[in-house]
Amino acid sequence: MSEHSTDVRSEVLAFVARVRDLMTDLPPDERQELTAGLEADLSELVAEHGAEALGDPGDYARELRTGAGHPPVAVRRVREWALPAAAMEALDAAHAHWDRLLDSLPGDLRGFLTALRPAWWVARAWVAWMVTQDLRGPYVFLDGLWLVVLAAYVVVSVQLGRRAWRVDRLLTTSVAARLLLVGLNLSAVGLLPGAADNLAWHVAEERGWQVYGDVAVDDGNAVTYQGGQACVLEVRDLQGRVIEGAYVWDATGERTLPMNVDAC
Amino acid sequence: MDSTQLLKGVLDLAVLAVVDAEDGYGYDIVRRLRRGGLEDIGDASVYGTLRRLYAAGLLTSYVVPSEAGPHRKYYGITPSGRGELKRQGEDWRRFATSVTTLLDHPQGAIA
Repeated sequence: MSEHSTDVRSEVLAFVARVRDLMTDLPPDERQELTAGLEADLSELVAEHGAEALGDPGDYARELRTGAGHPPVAVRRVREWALPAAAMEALDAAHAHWDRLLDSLPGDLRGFLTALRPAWWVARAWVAWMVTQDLRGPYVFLDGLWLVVLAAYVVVSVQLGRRAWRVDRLLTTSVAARLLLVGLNLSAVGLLPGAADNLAWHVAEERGWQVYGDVAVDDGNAVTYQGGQACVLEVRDLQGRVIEGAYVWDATGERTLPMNVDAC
Repeated sequence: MDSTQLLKGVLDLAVLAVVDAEDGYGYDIVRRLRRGGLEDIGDASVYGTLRRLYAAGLLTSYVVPSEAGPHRKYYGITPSGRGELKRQGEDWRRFATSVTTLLDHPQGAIA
């Protein structure tokens, strides 16, 4: 790449960044949609008419915003407290920084990640579903009701991702909502390996049942007899009477065996 | 008369018509509009309009990566965009005919 074309590119990039900065009041997705492809279009404009054709980024942003049906200049959001306002500005700045970072990398990384977003919306719904299953008990259920719950989670997650149900408006006015969404996304990323592991364990267990049949799992404390768990152990005397309070020790003599398993 | 004011009312229609003829990226659409006679059109207005029409479901978009430079965002028309083009086109023709008739025969408007 020649020095001249590098200069032109950096000039175009700076122009696009300035235009983007004048749209921080818009939802991040809207700002991204409005400015995606701008670099290519402006590069062509500059190639045809020179860098002076770029004009004033402020005028450009006004025209772009008006064309898209937004107020010509950024409307200051009404915020009640200084701290949420500062947090919102910080989040806006972090988002703009992230956008610029992605754009500075070679290849269309942003386009690639954007294409992956629907998959992530489904994945985080599934993580939430697995967490719900985990909170309910140790087993993973794949029956009808749980599948309905999963479908509901997917719908909510996709709608959040699409900024439907007025979520876009909420995210531009409420720092708490925005932080909550960031927190939920980060939690989903953190919980994803555990959820995958849990499902893998469940699949392995299911296969084990298919291969070995209904064999009680020896959890280290269960007594099994002929492939099934013995729920009640009783010690009886020679006359067959149950000896109350008696215990049975395992072969090692190190622990007593469960005499009456309620959950059995 | 300043054609910018006139353009505002029909920019959606003009953009839909151009994209209906062939998919295109922002600057390409601007160029085709200018070639079609709308020389005063501002490129940012067109980009904003494209975004708005896309958000309304009248256009679809896809990214075409470029090895030589930044990727291009192409726009195409959707079935509902085509329906809107037909509706707005009919409105425009009716309106233009009325105004032309009025200009040619202003006496006819006097009751």
